[in-house]
Amino acid sequence: MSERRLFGRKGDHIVMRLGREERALITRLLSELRALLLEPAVAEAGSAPLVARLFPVVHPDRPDDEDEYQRLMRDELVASRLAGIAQVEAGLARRGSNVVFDAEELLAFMQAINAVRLVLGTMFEVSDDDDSLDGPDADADPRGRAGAADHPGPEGESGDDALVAERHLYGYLSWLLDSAVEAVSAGGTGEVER
Amino acid sequence: MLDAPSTEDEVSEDRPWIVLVWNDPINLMSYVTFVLQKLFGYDIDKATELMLDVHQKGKAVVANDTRERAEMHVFRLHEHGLWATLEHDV
Repeated sequence: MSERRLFGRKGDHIVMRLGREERALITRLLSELRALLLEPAVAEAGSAPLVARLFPVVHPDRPDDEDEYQRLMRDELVASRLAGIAQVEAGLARRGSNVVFDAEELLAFMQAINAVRLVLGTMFEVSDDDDSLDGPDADADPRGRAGAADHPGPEGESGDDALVAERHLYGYLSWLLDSAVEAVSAGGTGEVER
Repeated sequence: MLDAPSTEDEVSEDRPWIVLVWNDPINLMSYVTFVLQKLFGYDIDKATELMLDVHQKGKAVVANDTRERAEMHVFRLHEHGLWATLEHDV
């Protein structure tokens, strides 16, 4: 059986073969990420644990320098993330059976997807030993599970069970990001930023 | 009488700053390698070497620069979701 490739090329653009449900899922995730970033607690360093990995400490041993950096740069990082989300949403919303991104849009897509992964990973405290989050085999298409997040399971499930969908989602996004890296690397569209 | 010697902090401000990327269980190895290539112009071999240092040793120095540029590097790394910090070079 031939494997359906997620990414292809169309001139200088990257073609991403995402179904309508997948696009809707990713769009919803980005909307949720935006809502998280706009919460008032995010503006204050250390007050929003779920997005802590999106705003790491810069000067771990120099608290005054850290305070100054966060005062100057935290809002800018939030703004950068929000702009990236908007850029990806616009690309996903464009008409067409496939999603077509230019190089800049694909990079924004990768950053946004990874940001969602960071939030999810923080949510269930991913560790290096957590093989259960490897999800499907690296080369296997996990899109059969893509809708898992929309089907949370039977009523009365435990707190751990409630995260099963998120864990599958994490695996799916990991596969998506890895595929994007492969597509960009193969095409050499990654430009050096100086 | 001679002036007292400069404090360590005054002298140290002339030293360059290093940018460290730290290991974390969430970022994909492929993605870290890609980001290092993209942001610093490393070829695939060097970027992979640095990524493996991050993965196996816990951290790696990915840049050495003035404080201003080093903070810019850290900002860019954070934009991409990597865990990066700054230190004075020893």
